[in-house]
Order: sequence, then C-alpha cells, then structure tokens
Amino acid sequence: MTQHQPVIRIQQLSKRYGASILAVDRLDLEVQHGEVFGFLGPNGAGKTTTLRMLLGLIRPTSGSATVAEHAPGDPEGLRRIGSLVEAPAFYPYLSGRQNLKVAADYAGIPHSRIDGALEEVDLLSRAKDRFATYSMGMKQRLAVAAALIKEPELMILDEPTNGLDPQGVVEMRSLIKRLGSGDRTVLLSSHLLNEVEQTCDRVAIISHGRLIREGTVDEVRGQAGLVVRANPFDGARLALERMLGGAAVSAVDGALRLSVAPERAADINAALVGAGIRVSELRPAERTLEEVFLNLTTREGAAA
Amino acid sequence: MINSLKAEWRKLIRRPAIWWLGAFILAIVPLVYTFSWIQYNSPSFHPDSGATLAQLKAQLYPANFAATMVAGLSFIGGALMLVMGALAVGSEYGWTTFKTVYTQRPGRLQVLAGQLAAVSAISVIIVAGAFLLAALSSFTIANLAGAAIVWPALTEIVKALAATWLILEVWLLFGMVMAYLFRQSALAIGLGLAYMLAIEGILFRALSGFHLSWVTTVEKFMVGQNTGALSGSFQSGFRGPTPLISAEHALLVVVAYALGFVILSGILVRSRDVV
Repeated sequence: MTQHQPVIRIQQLSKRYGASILAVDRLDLEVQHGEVFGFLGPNGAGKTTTLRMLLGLIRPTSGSATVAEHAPGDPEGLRRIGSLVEAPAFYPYLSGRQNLKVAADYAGIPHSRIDGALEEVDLLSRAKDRFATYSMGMKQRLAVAAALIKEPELMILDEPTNGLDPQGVVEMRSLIKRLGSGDRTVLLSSHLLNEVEQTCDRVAIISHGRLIREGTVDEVRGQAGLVVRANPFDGARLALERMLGGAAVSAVDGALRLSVAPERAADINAALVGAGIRVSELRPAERTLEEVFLNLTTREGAAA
Repeated sequence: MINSLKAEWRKLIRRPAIWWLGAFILAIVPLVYTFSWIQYNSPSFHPDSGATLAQLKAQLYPANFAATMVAGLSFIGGALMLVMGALAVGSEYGWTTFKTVYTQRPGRLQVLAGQLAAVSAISVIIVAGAFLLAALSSFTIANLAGAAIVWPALTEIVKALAATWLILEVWLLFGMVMAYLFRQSALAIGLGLAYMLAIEGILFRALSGFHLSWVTTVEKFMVGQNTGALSGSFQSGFRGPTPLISAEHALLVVVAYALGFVILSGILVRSRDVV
C-alpha cells in the first residue's frame, strides 16, 4: 500500500433498513495511511453500521468503499485488517489460546504469532482458561489479540472500551496508544472523547448517518476563546457585547466566555479597564472535543 | 478451504455438545442390541410384526448387523444429527461469532465449505463407530446364543454404511440450513424436529389412510419418506408390505435434498447481512 493512498475511501455510502430507517446517509470519508482516525457520533448515529459495511459484514444500499485497496469483505483486504466490532465474540468453551488458534486458522496465518499477541495484550497467563471465564476487559483484549495476530496494516476498533471498568478503560487506552504509535492506521470509534482527543490525528463526527464535521482535532475543536471574570459583571458584559457583538459573549458559571481569538486578550483587558471595570481573571479558554461534539450532535438532533 | 476446515474441526472437536450427541448415538447401539436380546429371550415376549422369534433373533447376529444398523440408526440418529447441524450453525449466531470468523479472512462460502466438511467428517466417524459397536454387539450376542458367526459381504457392509451416512448427513444438512434460515439453533431444532416427527412421521401416516393419489405423489418426494425407504430397502421382507418408494428413487431424492440443502445454505450465507 502506498503512503499517499487513502487506506479507507468511502464514497456516497448509504445503508437503508426497510423504508423508514436510513442508518447511513451518503457518507464520504477518507482515512490516510498511518493516521489514527477518530470516528465519533452518538448512539444510533450509524458508526457501527459504517464499520460493518467496511468489513463486508453488511452490504451497502448504495455507494462504495475501498478498504486496504480492496472492496469490503474481500479476503485479500481482510488479510490486512484487524478489527473489533462491538462486543468481542469468541467460543465460550474454548480457551483464549484455542480461540486465537481458530482465528489464525481462518486467517491462514501461523500459530507462532499467538503467544506474542497474547503477551502484547497481557493475557498470556490466562491463555489456558476458557473464554467464558474471562472478565469483559479480558474479552476485549483477546479480541485485540485476534486482530494483532494478523499483523494488520489497518485496525478498526469499534467502541473498544465499551463495558469496561475504570481499570479496564485505562488498560485499553494504553493499548490503543501503543497500537497507533507506529506505522499502522487505526480507525477508532469511541465515546471516550478525551481519549480520542489525545490519541487521534483526525476525527469525523456523524449524526443520523450523515457526516457533520471532519478534520484534525484542532480544526474540529475550532477557534479557542477567552474567559473573563470582572466586576461589575453586568457592566463588563455590556461593554464586551458593545465591543464584540452579542453573539460572541456568553455567561458561563459566573464568568464571561468570549468567542474571539486569544490574541485579543490585551485589547479586551485595556477596553474593560478603560471602562472602569476591574478584571480579576482573563485567560484563554480551550474548547474540548466533547463540547464541540455535544454542540454539533445536539444541534443536528434538534434539526432532525 | 483447508484453513476453514482446520478452524471448524478445531472448534467442533472440542465442543462438549458434539461429544454428547456423538456419545448418545453410539451408546444407543449396544443398548438396543442388549435390550432386544433380553426382550427376545423373555418368556412373555410374543412377536407381533409377522416375523418369527427366530427371525427376530437372527437380526441381532453378525450376518445382519449392517442391515440392522441402517434401519435402527436412521431415525433416532437422523434426529440427533439434525440437532448437531442446527447447533453447529445456530450457535454461531447466538455467540455472534460469525462476525469474528468472516472478518478474519476467508470468504463466506469457504467458511461454509469448511463447516460442511468438518460436520460431515464427524458424521462419518459416528456412523463408522456405530457400525463397529454393532459388529461387536452382534458378535457377542451370537456367541452367547451359540449361533454361527457369519459376517455379511464387505460390499453389503459398505453399502449399508454409505446409506446410513447419507441418511444421517441429509438430516444434519437440514439442521444446518434451518439454523441459517432462522439465524439461531433453538427454532431450527424445534421446527426441524417438529417437521421430522409431526409432518413426516404422523401427518403422512394419517393421510395415507385416505388413499389419496396426490398424497402418495407428494409423499414420494418428501425427505423423511425417502430416508425411510432407503433404510427400509436393507431390511428383509417380513417387516411390512411392498414399499411405496424404490431404493433407487429414494437414493436419488435423498441426494437431491442433500445438494439442495447445501445450495440453499450457500445462498443464505452469501446474501445475508451479518448483524
């Protein structure tokens, strides 16, 4: 695979169930080689449906996709893809190692890779135990091990932290960071926006099956702002609204939040002091991905 | 295909349910021989099938073990193989493991081919094991009775073995296709057995009393009637009237059903989403 070619290219992909449910609506997306790509959206947004289409588990109603240079579900493409879609699914009566042997047999890869993958996910000591006896965290890690034995160029992880306790989340977070640290491309669907913010190069947000924002994490977070605490509060608000416009000023937790470039802090401070207002705090306010996500998806939800 | 077969074999051979079903089928053989022998030697036993006691006892001797097995194993073995087929496929839906399997690498039809090969190999082992146990049981009974040890011709044994395997295989495939159809094992087993016992077993027997020509025509093409006819063709004539379906016709229909079940499974596997 060439480094300039997108590992995943989705064009006008749609999936309709019956007449009334449009799970994915003309989705366009590209994931580049080597990047860790966050795929975000509220429950029912169409994330899992999209990932299942990319893996060939379900067929699109219209549109097309290319994954690892092949059509979804093509054995040659699947050879290069490791995946975890929703809950990990293995044979409960088999041990962790036996389950990986089954997975390796299907993939046509040697069993010699199994112990390395078990070690990578810290499951070697429990490899002989039956899958049914594993905790949720161990099941998730076994699913990651099943993906790793293929030494994949692309990892597709759908909510890998679902159902995990805090300890499990921490373990999975560090595992995902390790997976994405090399040359490997990772497509990560997750609700943990803080993790996505820390680990992903680019993100896409979908809602009601439609792409509503895509870009680098900084691009999606958008322009940062300023937080001002001043006295008198109402006087400060009035002065700032006159200066910046009403839409740029909002009251949050006893402070004023300004949607302006942080570089304007000195001008704003001077204007407030000039108007006889005492400024007790003036600092840049970073927007989190979570704020943007909630803002976008709530707006989209209301529009729908 | 070989990789899928290896994976399917690894799964099935370690699955307790497969062992239980196989063990149950095998256990039936010596038990039926033993209880039949005890029954035939009971002073209160009187044959009511038109056969003499000597003929019935002769069915338990080595000369007849192959023919006895075809008739004895076809129905109960078929029902248990239907359960096995439904479990082999339906559990994959229950555990949602098809998504793990299909995303590893193999094409869906390759997975199906591996599955078919693995369960068919298991049914061969079970049938061969049952014949071996039947041979041992008949040998023991003949020794106890002081009867001559005469074995059937090898060709007869092979024909009986092949027919038994085919009958069990078609029910196994029926269980599999039902599980693919309903995407679960419980409904596949329930409806599969209900069809086998109620529709084929009871309904046609009841309808045959009306001597309707269309019923007879339909009956000639039903899977259960043909597996019954195929197994019945190995029996000597004292069991009943001239059969409705010839052995050759039954063989063709059973093979056609087996192929039909495989093709239908392939269509379902290829065309359906894995959700």
